[in-house]
Amino acid sequence: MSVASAELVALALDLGIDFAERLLADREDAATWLRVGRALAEFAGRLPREDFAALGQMRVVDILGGELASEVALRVQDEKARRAGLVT
Amino acid sequence: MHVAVACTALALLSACPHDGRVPRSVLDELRAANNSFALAVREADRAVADRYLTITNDAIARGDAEGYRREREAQEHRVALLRDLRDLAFAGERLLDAAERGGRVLAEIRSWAGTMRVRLAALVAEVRAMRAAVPPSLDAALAALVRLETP
Repeated sequence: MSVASAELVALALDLGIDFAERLLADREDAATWLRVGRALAEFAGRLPREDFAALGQMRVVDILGGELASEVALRVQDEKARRAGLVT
Repeated sequence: MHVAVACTALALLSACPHDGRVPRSVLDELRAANNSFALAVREADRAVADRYLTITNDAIARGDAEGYRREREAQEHRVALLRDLRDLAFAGERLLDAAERGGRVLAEIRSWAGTMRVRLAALVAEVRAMRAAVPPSLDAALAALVRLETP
């Protein structure tokens, strides 16, 4: 894992979208590009297929429902700073 | 950036028929990718919160009002970014729900994928910028984003 790897995947995404746009324009076989997409994902990193399938059963609200931890932290620290006299 | 997102964008944009519908065979895979994107956002959120607590606790202990104010401003920016990302995950799910009902939403999904690309790049940059100060928990966040290791 590294920042360079993250950038590599970002580049892969850019290239993928560009290629896919061209593909749609050319009316090529979609299945071919599905295979290319998976190969690209596997190249950029491991893609655990079993985990991936299980994820498809979830809903976003179960993952990101409620307040963000970062929002809560902001509020909690404001109160602490106020008590310490750092903010009014 | 999450590897699954790259796969999603490719699968989505290339597998959709030209009448704007998304094939059933692709939908489950797209849901999994959107959910894994949501998981990466959650991990990043926790890491950002953890670091903010560490830095501001230190500023409060030192009585450093200016340091606290500066870090708080930065945190507001990060929270806004994380809210955008969370909204994007919900928007992706709504689009997939619409596609499942037979909606012709290919254009909207393309637009969503483009926005996701930009926001994810911003999040990666943010995590990278924070990483130098407090590496351990942010390493975990970056691992979730990059997903080079199976949890």
